[in-house]
Amino acid sequence: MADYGFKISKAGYDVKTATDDQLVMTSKLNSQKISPTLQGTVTQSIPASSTVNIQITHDLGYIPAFDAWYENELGHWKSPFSSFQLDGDGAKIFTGSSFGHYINSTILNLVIDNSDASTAHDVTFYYIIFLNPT
Amino acid sequence: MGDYGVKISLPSYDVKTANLQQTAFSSKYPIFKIAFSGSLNLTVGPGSGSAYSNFNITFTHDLGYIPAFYCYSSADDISKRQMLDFSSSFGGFFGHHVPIYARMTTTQLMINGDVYDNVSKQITIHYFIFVDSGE
Repeated sequence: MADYGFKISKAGYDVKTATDDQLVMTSKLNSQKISPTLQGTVTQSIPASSTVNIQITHDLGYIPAFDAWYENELGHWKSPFSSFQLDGDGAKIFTGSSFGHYINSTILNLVIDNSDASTAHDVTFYYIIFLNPT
Repeated sequence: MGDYGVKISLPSYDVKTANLQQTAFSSKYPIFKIAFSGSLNLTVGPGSGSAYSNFNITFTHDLGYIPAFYCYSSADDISKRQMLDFSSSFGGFFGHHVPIYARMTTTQLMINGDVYDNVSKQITIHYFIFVDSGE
């Protein structure tokens, strides 16, 4: 079968000899695809002593790849999927919170539990749901 | 050197004036290219309450550098995925406790974790390993 397609090299590299990592894109390799309708920001108030499910409907009919970040109360954007604390402001969404999540063939579900008995907290997530299936 | 390349704007935006957020693709900015994708299946455990059973599984990419990657997991319920990061526990949510960790080297994706439940678990790791460097 003939070798044909489309590729673009990064600045400074000859497209005729560039290796895959020296390319901006190549039609030989799949890439992560993003739909403008499947990315965005959601803000939700979590009442005191409660658990809230934030559900984002994608309806792709298959289980896609995804990523998400939240803004903590110091204004830092962090991954909710890490329990590793590096910069001193903690990995928790807010003090007294715990986080769970899953994605299936129709929704991305983010679960935030607020064990603070006296204070509601607002959480803001930025999410990207890729078109690539897992 | 001339300013040339390929640029595609999102619907309803003039490609001649579209800013970066209004652009679907620009050859000025590389996209994540998938070098490898697939899944790793394994049966882990059982643990024994407070005594855990450790598991390890690897995928060899041999790229010679540390690539960017994403990993997702599913356990028993294959209709759902959870994202792995530095550490990931889908314990309470799925009713199990299986901390899973993903690490990347210049040659391998390495998955390891611990099972605390008293029964065996079927775990599937779904991975995307990119051509693009994670360093």
